[in-house]
Amino acid sequence: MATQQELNDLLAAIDSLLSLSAAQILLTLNSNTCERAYEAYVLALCMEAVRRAGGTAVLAGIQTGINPNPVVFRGAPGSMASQNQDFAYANCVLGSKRFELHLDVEYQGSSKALHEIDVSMCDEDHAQAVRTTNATPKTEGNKLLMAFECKFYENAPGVSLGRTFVGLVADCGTLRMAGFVANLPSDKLGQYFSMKSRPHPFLGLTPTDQQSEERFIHNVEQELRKWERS
Amino acid sequence: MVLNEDDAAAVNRSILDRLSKLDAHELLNGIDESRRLGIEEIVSEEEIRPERKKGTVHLKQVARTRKRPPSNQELLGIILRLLAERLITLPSLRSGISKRLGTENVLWRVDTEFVTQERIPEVHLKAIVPEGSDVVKSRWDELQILLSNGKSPEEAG
Repeated sequence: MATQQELNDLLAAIDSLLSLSAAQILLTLNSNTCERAYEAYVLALCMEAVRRAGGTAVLAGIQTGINPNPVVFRGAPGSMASQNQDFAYANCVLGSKRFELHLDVEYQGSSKALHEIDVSMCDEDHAQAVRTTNATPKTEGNKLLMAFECKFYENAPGVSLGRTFVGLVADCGTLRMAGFVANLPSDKLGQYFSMKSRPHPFLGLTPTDQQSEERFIHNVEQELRKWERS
Repeated sequence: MVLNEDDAAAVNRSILDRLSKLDAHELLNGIDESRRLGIEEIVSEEEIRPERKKGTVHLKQVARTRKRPPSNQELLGIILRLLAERLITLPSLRSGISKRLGTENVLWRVDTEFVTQERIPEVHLKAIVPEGSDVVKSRWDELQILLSNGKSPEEAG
């Protein structure tokens, strides 16, 4: 057991850490910022998967075109067609396949309900039709190819968000891939997603764990390669 | 370092008091939610099966998973985990994003047709790596060494 001196040293070390102004800033950041940053990170990993599969992935702004500066992502879910900001997405080409990666865009599901999808892969022709008509993208008929729910957990993960995502995916028709991505590992969520036909779990995915990054990128890359050959 | 329940409770109190003074309410809510979710464990057959004189219950009639509150030691583990996500994982997202997008000039803005900027203000990527984040990382590593009885974070896994 720890001695009193060891306990005092531990308390002093914790106090020293939490006294840092940078630590205080990080601890009081708006959780919306954490969530949005995590989603952008997952989008960036998807872009890397496209490149590893032999394709190209280039950022574009809806107003300014390719290589926007700054890159503007949505601070809250919204319409793919919105021109109210220079919202960015990734233009991707893989063999004969042309598609786009989007953040926080609303799609119409099979039931006609609107769903916000954190990271989505959409057929390019369909996305262009959406922008031209100022409409809403659909999930069915190979319009929505992949969907990822991204969660930056700030509590021990429960299964409720996983359940919600399973429901969302059920309303999306046939997807090439659906994944639940979270910063924290969770046996509960792992068990929940172990059932056949449920989305792939990518739990504990963070830049501090290179293996977790490689596993995610590899899975997406393999699915892209299969799709390219279809 | 092995802490007994009383020592873990003291450390928990110290951290939670500090977070409260900082008004880190989202993190505190997360810790509370973790406490509410509890620890799930599989109950043994011996615990489920009642005494013979009360009759037997077929084990298939009941679930074997039970929830209990976290101990002080377990709660400390949860708190440290959640602190790590804010102090270490969150800043690491910046390089995870910028090296793949090819730029650090990344902003988040809302569609003002539906959400006001007062509610969700504009944020730049550099907000998740405040100045001094490298010192936070070093102090965190020192804390991990203390907790792991002198082993480096890599050795401690």
